[in-house]
Amino acid sequence: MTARPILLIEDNPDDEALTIRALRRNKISNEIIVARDGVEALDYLFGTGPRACAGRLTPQLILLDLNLPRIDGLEVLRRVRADADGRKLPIVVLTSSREERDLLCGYELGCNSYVRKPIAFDAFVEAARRLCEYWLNLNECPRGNDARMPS
Amino acid sequence: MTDFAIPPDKARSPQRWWSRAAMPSRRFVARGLYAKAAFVFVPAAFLATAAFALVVWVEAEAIEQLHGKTLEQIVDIAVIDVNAHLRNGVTDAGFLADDRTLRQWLETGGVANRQRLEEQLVEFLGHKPQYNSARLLDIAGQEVLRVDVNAAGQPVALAQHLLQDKASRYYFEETIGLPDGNFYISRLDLNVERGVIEVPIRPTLRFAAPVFHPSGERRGVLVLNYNARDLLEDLRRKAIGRGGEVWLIDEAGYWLLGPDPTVEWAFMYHDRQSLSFAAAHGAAWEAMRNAKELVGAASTATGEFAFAAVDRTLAAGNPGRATRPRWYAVAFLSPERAKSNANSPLLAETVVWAGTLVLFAAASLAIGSQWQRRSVSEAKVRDLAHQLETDNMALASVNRELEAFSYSVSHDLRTPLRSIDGFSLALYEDYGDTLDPEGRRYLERIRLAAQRMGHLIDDLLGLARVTTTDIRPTPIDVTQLARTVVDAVESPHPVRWTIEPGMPAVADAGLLQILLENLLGNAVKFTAKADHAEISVGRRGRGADTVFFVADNGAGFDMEHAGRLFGAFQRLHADTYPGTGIGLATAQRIVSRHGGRIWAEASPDLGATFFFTLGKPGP
Repeated sequence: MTARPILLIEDNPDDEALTIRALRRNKISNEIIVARDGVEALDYLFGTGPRACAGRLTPQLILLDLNLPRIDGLEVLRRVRADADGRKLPIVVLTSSREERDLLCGYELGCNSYVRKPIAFDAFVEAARRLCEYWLNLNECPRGNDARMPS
Repeated sequence: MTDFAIPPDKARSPQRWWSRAAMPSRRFVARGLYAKAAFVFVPAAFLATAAFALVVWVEAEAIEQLHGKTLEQIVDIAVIDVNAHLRNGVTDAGFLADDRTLRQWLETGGVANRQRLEEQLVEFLGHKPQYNSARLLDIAGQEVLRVDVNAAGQPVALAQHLLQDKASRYYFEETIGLPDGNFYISRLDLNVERGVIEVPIRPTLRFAAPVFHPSGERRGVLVLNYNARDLLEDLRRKAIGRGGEVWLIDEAGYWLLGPDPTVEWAFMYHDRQSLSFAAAHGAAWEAMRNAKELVGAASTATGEFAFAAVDRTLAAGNPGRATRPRWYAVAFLSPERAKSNANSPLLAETVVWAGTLVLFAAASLAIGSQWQRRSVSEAKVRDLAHQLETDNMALASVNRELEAFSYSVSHDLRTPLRSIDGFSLALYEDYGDTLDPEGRRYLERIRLAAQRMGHLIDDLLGLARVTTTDIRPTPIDVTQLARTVVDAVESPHPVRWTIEPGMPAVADAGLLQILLENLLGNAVKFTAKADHAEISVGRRGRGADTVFFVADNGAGFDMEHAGRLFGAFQRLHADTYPGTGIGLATAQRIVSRHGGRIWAEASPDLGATFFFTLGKPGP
């Protein structure tokens, strides 16, 4: 079975590099697709615009930062969850914010997990390890998620 | 970075602009005193002024009347009275001159007839007290019959030898030539008996009528002496009754009735010849003498005059006579009196009016200031309410700003720290081989600093959250909460915990948990070096007075530093114990948000006890 990609929605290049590093440190071999703002993420997921990925595999996991340019993370979450297929995608909010209202909003809009990025990188690596172990190995997704992105 | 309490100048800035906004309101309030006093004063002053104006007007009317009409009325009445008296006198003289008894005596003579005539005259004088003498003079002016009222008031016929020759007296001369049916009214003077003015003075005038024999032959003159005292008294009294004064002036300008008894009848006395109305009021006298009408008025330098003349010839029924002796009834208003009538009451009233206004003004100020005091306190209440509202709005806005601030802090300050730490570690891991141990230690220090700053940011956010989140007090089992916290605190060293059972409180559950986490965490931290760490949680007192405490036997501190204990970033054990110095600041914030108080007692190496109350739960 081909490993489906991980969609990392992250605007900060440092965070992007560190997250990828943390994933790689945990021997995650899935393709990692990076969207640097909400628009790019939605383009990718809903097959519109230049970054549309119609025909590609749907992501096995979406790592979503909240504080994004153009369309922010919570709005991305809302739009994905408004879509019948998007509703089935596992989305982990991975953010710096531990604001109560972001947490509440994230869960209200249907995120599957809410993880705060630790400052210490070893702690981050550990968090990434646990996340991937759970979402990529332990967790079962609906079959439909194997489908390719709509064309 | 300072702590997240509202910065003092920011907290005060709404206060400042509120104060500016309040200033005009205070000025208005200050102006309000005079406005309110005026509100009372103006209508009161208006009413008072109207009342005084009415009084002055009425008085002016009265003065005006006294000035003109009243003076005229006084003289009119006086003249009517005088004429009435004169008519009576003329009638009486006519009656006696034409009497049957007199005619019989004139026709036939004889003692009996004379006797009868005398008796009749006695009887006449007895009935008419205004006459004190009735005489019959013969054609030569010799008294032939005379009845006088004696000192006892009894009319008595005089004996023959007492009768005098009156041929040279003016009343005889004036009357003897008159045709039948005509009468003579003499001037008014004082009675003279044998060359001496009778005392007390007796103002006298004489009514005289020529007497004719039935055949038409002129036989003499009948003279009635009339005592004018009652008439003069009557005139004076009536004038006073009308609010004035009346004088009676004879044709030579002398006072018969005057302002002063000493100036009356001056023509009768050699030494008083100059005391006359004509001399005192020359201009008025001229005007009276030259007046064509019997009545008139004169306004001269010496006063205001109204006068009316009594034409004695006319009163006697002899309109044809050339000489027209007159008396003048004069009503007089001196310039002083006129002025005082016109001005001094006005002056007095002005003074009273001004005084009243001053009183009103004082009263108005008093009322106004009372009113003002009330409205100032009302305004204060309104101001305070408004201020409270404004402050609340300002606070709400500050809170919103603070929330936005801490939100961005939580995101944006942490992100670079993660990069610092992450790339330091990446550097270490990927290129550690090319670094010597010193270089690797530097990387380690960079990472420690970044992580410490991360804790700092987290704690600051916690403090800010404690300050800004809403408090929802609920009944709480403090014992249970303390146990939960104790379970969560991972003490690196063994601690003997003592938690008093059954401690209730009313507080915000979340905040109270943070409070206990801070206090118990502190206690754990500072007992790290104690031989047998003991921490107890308990209380003193009950109900609203409950004082909770967390006591440990740890490092303690010098009470000298107790004042700095609850400030953010204040650390008493910076080197020995880890920490950000924000925990107790957070604890104090939580306690004060509950309306409570927190304090500590400690001594170095003997432990510390933190006390706190939750007070009356805030809204």
